[in-house]
Parts: sequence; C-alpha cells; structure tokens
Amino acid sequence: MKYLFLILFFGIQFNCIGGQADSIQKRVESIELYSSTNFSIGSTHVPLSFFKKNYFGGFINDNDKGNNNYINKIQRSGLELDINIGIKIHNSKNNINGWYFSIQNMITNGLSYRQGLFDLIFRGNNNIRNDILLSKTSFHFRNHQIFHFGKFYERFSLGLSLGNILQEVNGNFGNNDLIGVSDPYNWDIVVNPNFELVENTSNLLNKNGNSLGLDIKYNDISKSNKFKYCLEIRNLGLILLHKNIKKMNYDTSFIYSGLALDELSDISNFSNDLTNNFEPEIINKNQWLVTPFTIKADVLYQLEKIGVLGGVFFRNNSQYLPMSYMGINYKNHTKIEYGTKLYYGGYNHLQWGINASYKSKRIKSELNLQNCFSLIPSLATSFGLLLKLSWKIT
Amino acid sequence: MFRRVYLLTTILLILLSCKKSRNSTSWNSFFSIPISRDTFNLNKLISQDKLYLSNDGTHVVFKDTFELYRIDQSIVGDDIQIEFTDTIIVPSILAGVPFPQGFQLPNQFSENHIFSFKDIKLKEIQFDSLIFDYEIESNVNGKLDLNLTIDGAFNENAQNFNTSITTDVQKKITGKLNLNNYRFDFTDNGNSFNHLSTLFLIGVSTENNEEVIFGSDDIITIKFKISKSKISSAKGYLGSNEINDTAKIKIPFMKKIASNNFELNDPKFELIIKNGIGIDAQLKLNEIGFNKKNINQSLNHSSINQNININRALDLGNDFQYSVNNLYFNSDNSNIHQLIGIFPDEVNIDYSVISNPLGNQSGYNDFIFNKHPLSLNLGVNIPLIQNFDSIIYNDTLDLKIPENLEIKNANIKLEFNNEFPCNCCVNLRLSSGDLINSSPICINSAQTDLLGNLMQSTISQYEINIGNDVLDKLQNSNKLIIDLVLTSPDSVTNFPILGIQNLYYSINMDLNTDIKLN
Repeated sequence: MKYLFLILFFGIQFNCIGGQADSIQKRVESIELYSSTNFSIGSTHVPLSFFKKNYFGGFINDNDKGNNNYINKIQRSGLELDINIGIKIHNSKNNINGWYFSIQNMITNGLSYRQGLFDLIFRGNNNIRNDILLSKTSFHFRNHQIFHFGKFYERFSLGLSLGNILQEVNGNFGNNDLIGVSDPYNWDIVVNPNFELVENTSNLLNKNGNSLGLDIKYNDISKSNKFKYCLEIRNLGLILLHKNIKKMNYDTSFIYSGLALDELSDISNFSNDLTNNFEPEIINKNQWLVTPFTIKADVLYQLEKIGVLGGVFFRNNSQYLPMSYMGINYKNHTKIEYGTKLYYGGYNHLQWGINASYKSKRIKSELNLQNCFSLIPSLATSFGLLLKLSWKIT
Repeated sequence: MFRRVYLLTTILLILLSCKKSRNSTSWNSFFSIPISRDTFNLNKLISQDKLYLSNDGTHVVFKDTFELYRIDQSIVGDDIQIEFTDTIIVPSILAGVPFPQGFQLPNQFSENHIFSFKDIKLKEIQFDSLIFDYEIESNVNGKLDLNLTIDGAFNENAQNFNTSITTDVQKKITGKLNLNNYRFDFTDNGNSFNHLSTLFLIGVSTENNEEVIFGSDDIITIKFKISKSKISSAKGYLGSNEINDTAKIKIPFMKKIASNNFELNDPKFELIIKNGIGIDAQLKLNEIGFNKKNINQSLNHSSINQNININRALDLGNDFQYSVNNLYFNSDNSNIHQLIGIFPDEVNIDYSVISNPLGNQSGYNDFIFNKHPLSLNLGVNIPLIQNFDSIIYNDTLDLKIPENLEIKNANIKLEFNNEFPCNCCVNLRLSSGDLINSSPICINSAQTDLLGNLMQSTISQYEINIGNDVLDKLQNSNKLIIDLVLTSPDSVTNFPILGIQNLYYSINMDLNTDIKLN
C-alpha cells in the first residue's frame, strides 16, 4: 500500500513533468497541481554509512562510528521525510486568488545526546573515564498525516490543517541525570527520564491523537522588483492525544558494582522485578501538546542573471536545530536556473548544496541536493533532497 | 513514450532498493561490567538470634531447633467417620387429605444416632471444615420443604445448625451441607458419647401447582455422609491407637557437599519430644538413619529401639502446658560425630507411637487441638571450632548469555579478601566437564595465630581469559559447573570462627563483543 501510494505520487509528478496530459488540461483549466518532497537525514558526527547499515543491515565498523569527540559534546542525529501533494484552484476572474487543498505525510525522527552515550552503546565503556551527562538528551519520533486547506491571495494565504497522529514519541532526561562509568566496575546511575508515546491504530481514521493548526503565508516583492521575501508558518496549533498514551517517568539513582550473590543465584526473579518496575503506565486522559509547526523565511535579491538568497527554517518540538542558508542562483537565457547554497543547522553543521530549477508558464520544478559530499557516504554526515513540482493548467 | 517507461522503471527500482533488507545490523564494543560483589559472614548467612558468642569469646556457637515431624489430629481423624440415614414415615392419618401449598404439618420427626469410632468416645468435636453430602429419596406425590435441625451442632454464635431442603416428586435429590467451624456436642446433654440427633419439620412446598395428598405408605429417606472434613479439636476418650511410620527429612543442599574429613569441637544434639496432645503416648524410635548416596548409617544411642513414655499435655484454661521429653546426643553417648561428616542429604526416622497405651486413664478427658500437635524436634548446639579436609561443594549454575551478544573474548577479574581460616580453591567447568580455568583459582586462608585465631586477612586476585571457543560452548550449554574445595590451613588445629569474620569478593568482566540487532 505504501509503495502503491509512492508510485502513484511520483506518477502524478511524472505526468506534470511531461506536460502532455492534454485530456486533463481540457477539463480543468484553472487548476494547479503541486507536490513537494523533502527528505533529509543527517548527523553532527556519524557518516551516512552508519545510517545505511542501520537500515539495510551490515557490520558497523570504526569508520562508520565517526570520529572520537569530547565525551560530553552534544550531538544530533535525525531524519525528516515530508511529502506534500496538493491542488490549487485559481479564481477564474483574476487567476491570482483561489483555494488550496493538500495532503501531507510527515515522518520525523530526531535525537540529541552526548557523545559519551553514543560511545557507550557503540564502542562500550572500556575507554570512558568521565561521567556521561544525560542533560539535553532527548528524542522524538513522529508520523503525522495532515490535511491542509485554505484560501490564497496574491501576497497572502490563510488556511487550516487537520492532522491524524499516527505515532508520536517524545522522551527526555533530567538536567542532573548522568551515567558515571569513570570507574568501569562501579557505575553511578542517576536518571529521571520522561518518556511518552502514542502508537498507531489499525483503524484508518480513528487514531489515538488529532491536531488542529493554522497555516499562514506572506510574500512580497519590492517596487524595484529586485527584492523578494516570503514568510510562512505551517501547522501552528495544538495536538490532542486522547487515548492509549504510554508514559514512563521514574526518578532513580543507584550505584551498581555487581549483583549480590542471592540476586545472582536468582537472576530470573531479579530481572523480572527490574522489568516490572519500569513498565510504562497507560493513560486514557486528554493531553495537549503544541504541534511541531514550522516557520520558514526566504529572501532573494535578484541582480540581472544572478540572485543572492538566504533563509531560515525552524521546526518546533524537535531536536532539529534551526537551519539557516545562503546562496546564489544563476539564470541563463533559458528557463533553467542553477545555484549553490551553504546550509548550517538541522541535524548537521555546515553543508554545501547545489540546486537547479526549471520554470515555464505551466510547469515549475526544483531540485535541491543539500549536501554534495553525500555522494560519498563514508565521508558525508548528511544527505538531503528536496523535490518540488507544480503544473498549472491555465 | 520511451521516456515515461524509462522514468517509471527508474523510480520503481529506486523504491525497491529502498526496501529494508533482512540482514542484521551489528557492531563491536568493549565493555567493562561489574558482575558480582558481596561480603559473607556468619551473621549474614545465619540469623543472628541463632548465633551466640562462646563463654571465652573466641568463637560463636550455632543453636537452633528444627521440627522433624509432627503428629496432629490425624491420630484420631481416620477413625472418625460420620455416616447416617434418617427415615421419615408419613403418618397414615394424613393419608388422603389434600394439603395446600405452604401448609406446615404439625408433626415433628426426630432421630437419634450413636456412632462407633472404634474405641473412641467423643464428647465434643469441632471442625475447621466439614461438608456433608446428602441424598433424599421421597415417594410423596408432591414437593415438600424439609426443615432440618441438627441438635448439638453449634455455630460460633451457639446456634443449632438449621437448613431447609425441598424434595422432588418421587425422585432422588442430592446436595451438600456446609458445616464449617461447627462444634458438635456428642453427649446428649451429658448422658452419652458419640451421640447426634436430628429433627425434621415438613411443609408442603409452594413450588407445587396443586394441593398435595399423602398416600398411606409415603416415606422419605435422607442419607448423610461426610465428604470433606478437617478436625480442629476433639474431646473425650480418644482411643488407643498405634501408628507405625517412617518420616523422611530431605536436605537437598547437602547433596552438593562432600568431605574427606570434618571435625567439630564437641557438638551437642538434642531430640525434643514435645507433646501438645492431651493423650499419654509411648514412642519408640526404631531407627534414625542418615543417608548420602550409597552411604547409609544409623544413629547409635541408648534411646534407640526403646519405649519412651510421653506424658499428656495439660490444658488448664489460660495456661497450656506441653509435656516435653529430651534426649541428648553427643560424641560420648552416640556416634553423631561420625554421622555429621557424611553430610547426609536424607534423614529417615522410623518410629512407632501408641496413644493411650494404658487405656482411658483420663476419664474421658483426652483432648487434641490442631494448634498443639505432638512434635519431634531436633535441637542443635554446634560450637564453630572446626577442622576440615576438602569439603567439596559442587553446583551447576544456569548462565544464559543473551543471543544478540556474540562474545569474542572475555577477561574475568576476581578479587577476594578472606578473613576465614580456610583455603578455598575453585574450578569452573563446562557441562561437558572441560575446565575453563587452566589452574585452580585458590583463595588463601587468613593468617592465624597458633590457636587458630584470626590475625590478618589475605587478598587473592585472579584473571581468567576465556576465548571464543569456550564462550561458544558456554552459550550453547547455558550451564556453568562450580567446584569449591574448602580445607583448613592445617590438620591439627581446630579453628574458631567469629560472626564478624568476612569474605569479601568481587567479580568483574571485560568483554569484547559483537552486538547484533535483528
């Protein structure tokens, strides 16, 4: 089903690119089909090969684990898959105002952690001689399906977003939490984690949570026609989790230096006790969260064939760092524009990307490769691809 | 057209290549793990109220009492079987008269029963639990309500047992009566023993559709039989009975222990016969056998195979007095010294008990309470001054290594700090018998003075490197066999032990392992 959806989705884009669907064109003259797919995966310290082996399987060797860093350095890793497909119905009178409807499937996963925690899991505690702090360690995983609709004008658009929460997992550790393994045989554990998760249901529509948000977009152009800017807020609102919310919250600290003999001789009972103590609690009570809304701002200064551009992107309730970028575009005499950008933020540090776009009366398409080094997975620590397509039927 | 096919094929191939393969993800990590750390001393192993410091303060003495066997209400319970039948013959004067529903006959039907419980003459008996099965057969042409009262059966509020049962039309019915916690007075107001009387009232059941007309030969038969009972107490003459039995006491822990020689300094044992039953008795210990594998040895003592007269307990109302007989065993009057050294895993006590050997001496005032049995207890008094040669403790531990861990190499680090006056050598073996450690791991005895008193502890440290092949075998068998051999530092001195002497140990492990996620 998932693959069928994706094939159909790309198939529609293919039709858009081809621009040869004459029969459809005749039937719906003032409609614009558009899609936007953004996939990015990245980390501040591990190469892409680490993710590749996690997903496809294989042995994660020392190179895949990235460089050795300061043990309490904060690292981030995550992925974003944001698929949008929509339709704009233009007002037949002026062809500027109109209505839009779109469906979005957003899957994001982010982790923020200390280097030491990664090392503890993937390298072992053998060489760790400091306490691993767990403050600022948090993670999320979410899968939301959102229906957007609203009205657009020449410079402004306003709409609502209604979401089904398929999965929402959030977790974080307390500010004073730590794993003390400086003495490898005397572990000092102080943890006060707070985990919360909502799982998907088998019912197509009736989910364990729903969201309601506001979409606002404003764009303008200077009188000289050289300076353009755009500000967009998507899905600003609230999530209501209403049933089957699993919560884990405990405050514990202990020193582990080995089991006592009676615990060792009755290890199955001991491990059962341990498991029972950390069972999640299931809550069927309403809980409100702020949506993972996004704020995006882009500016462009156009000089003849060269455009200088910049922007920022922020996602709420995520380990995704606000990302900023700047770059230049070159437009030749054809309908094609090329460009290059420097990105900073997200799940990565500095990235060098390239982009190309094609613009005609009916068709707009844009392809962004966020990190050129991702073509060599063992070197690059991120990969990002943005594909935008739209086909306007006039 | 070609471009479309090309693009669709490319997209399809990209999607298929994104499908997650079934290969597992794995990586290599080096872990240092604390496995176990603990401190042993006698106070930790044995409850402190069982350890006493010796008069000279050089050692501790272990004192305890174990119950070996008990005889309770079973001494009479098997003989007390209650089963009786009541027969109600409907008076012929009532024949032919139609009685409406709900009509209560003016007649009372009463029956008396005297039970025979061998030679037992019961005055009173109380049950923790008592269930009677009943079976009622009626040839009356209508349903009747039988109101049953058992005279002398009293509940906690001193009320007679009373219940109502509805018969069926010319049919047999069965059911159960619950008389849990009922006390039965079997004396018929002080005039008899083993006596019980029942009283029935008969009414015409409202379940009938029409009036009931009795016939001239109508009869109702009610049979009662105990289906389940547990006696709480009994009073009267409880009979003379002989029980011949063998009590087997298993000590599984001892199966794992053996020794070449084990010597304790002047241990004392005491067999305590504690009688809480109000019956005189005669006990004969035919044999007390100590078994270990193929070794069977019997206790030699002057009391064995001799009649031991046991007086009855006394119930003086607020004061309950047990009758206690003590038999003492030590190295001088028995071979107990020799029996301890075999570390028996089973003790068999072959005995016979005769209750009331001289008959009804109490004038029907015997009693038995479930909470006051006749018990055979063993009291031990062992001064912990000992010398032993090769006490061998053998055990098999279940050791389950998680399947998603593929351990390439393990280095086990052991450290001991010993304050006990004994050497201890450990061998670790696979279930196949192959040794894991190439040479024994030996914990040295603490340093002692000439009298064997502790002077200074000793520290022993070991590292055992376990390779991949041994770990594979360990992972497959999930078993680790431990042989522990304890030996006194010399064979002459009896070494004293105090409650505060410790054995500290820590076991840590360095692992080079592959972790696999499926």
